Amino acid sequence: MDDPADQELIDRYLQGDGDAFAALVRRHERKVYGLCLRVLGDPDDAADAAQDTLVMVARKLGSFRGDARFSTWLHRVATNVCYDHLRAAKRRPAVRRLPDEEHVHDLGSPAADHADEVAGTRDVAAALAQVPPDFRIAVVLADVQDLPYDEIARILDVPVGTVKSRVHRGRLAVGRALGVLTKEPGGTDGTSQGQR
Amino acid sequence: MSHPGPLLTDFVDGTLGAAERADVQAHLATCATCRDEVAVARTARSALRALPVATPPPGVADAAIAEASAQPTSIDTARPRSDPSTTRRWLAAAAVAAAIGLIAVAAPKLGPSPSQSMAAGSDAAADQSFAKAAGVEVVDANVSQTQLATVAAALGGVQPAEAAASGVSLGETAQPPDLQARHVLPAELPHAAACLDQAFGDTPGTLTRVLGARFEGTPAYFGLYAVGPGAGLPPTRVQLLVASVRGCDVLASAYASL
Repeated sequence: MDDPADQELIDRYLQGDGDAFAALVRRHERKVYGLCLRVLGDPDDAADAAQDTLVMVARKLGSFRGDARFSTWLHRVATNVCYDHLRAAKRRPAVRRLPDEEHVHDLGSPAADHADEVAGTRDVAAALAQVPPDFRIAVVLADVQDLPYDEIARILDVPVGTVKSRVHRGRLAVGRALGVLTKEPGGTDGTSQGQR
Repeated sequence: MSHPGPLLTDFVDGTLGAAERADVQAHLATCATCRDEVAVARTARSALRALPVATPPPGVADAAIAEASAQPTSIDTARPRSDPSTTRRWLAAAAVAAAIGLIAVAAPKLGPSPSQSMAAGSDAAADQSFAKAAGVEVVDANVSQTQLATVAAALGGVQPAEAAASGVSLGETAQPPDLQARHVLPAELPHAAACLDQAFGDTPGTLTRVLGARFEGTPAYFGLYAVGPGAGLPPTRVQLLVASVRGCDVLASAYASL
């Protein structure tokens, strides 16, 4: 568990140790960027959102009282920033590019050096882009960030049952966008988006 | 049983207890819709969990680090964010800046690069009276273009007392910000120096101070370089280069004669 160390860094920062804050955000920047990238789809948008998130954390950390885990609070901030970016993107003309070679390069971690892995990344990123935002965020928190449902419920401020429902619908939308054939693609969830 | 609803999510995750799992399996045996959903959800779950961990671009946290250090924490909330005496010192420094004929260069990409024009003066002699920077001094300030020259002068070590004696009147726009450092971050110095190098190419002389603050609202590194004429002579001027924290782009520069 990294929370005791998180809290210690927060305490040190609140006592005036700027390096403690730097250590705190360096520890979590990858997590924040990963969430933003999978939700927003575009590396530049994700970098902007991650930066906005961390700046927001800097501004609000003084009001963080430790009644939630820091990582829960951080994800809540990041999720809200992602929603803001999605709303802003909706107001802009639709010029978003599909994942291209540069995008794929950005997505790869240093360890992900298998070509088939990268190709799969491109498909999944494209599939995620077709998922309605509420479901996309839930499924990213669950299956990319690997957070438990009760924590996601606290992040999104919805009941656990709602989280499970959104995750399921998000998975269905991703799976169908990935081209998985189903005999009854409609169902009752309203998320069938089989076209790619 | 009717459609299992949220239980399907747990079933796909493999987290159901034996009894509930048996119930769901019994339902799946009779419901093609749910069977298909389970297959699709399993495929998606595996694909999502196989995604590589994304690597953030360098510098994504820098603006936050600068911002955090500029924020009053629980301890220094009681401290006024702007010390009037500091403001007064700055007014005096600005007077000197005006007196010594500071030149601020806006949008350096439009003209000859100040770093290029100063490169010939780059020399180790600059070390004689200016120590190398020890860390990024994080400052709660938003420096405007019109303030830049006064900032360069003050960082260059102009004496406020002498400035006050010069009696030069100042326009409102030149009033400089409070540049009192909230924190000094030694660990951020290499990144800041590299960022300034990236933005300006050949940075001149010796990097003597680095401030982390905002320039026209953009989080930025302010690098102060002491530049001498070479041949072992002491520095004759300081150059202030400003690069964005995010992306390390050229924002502005100014210099002051010593």
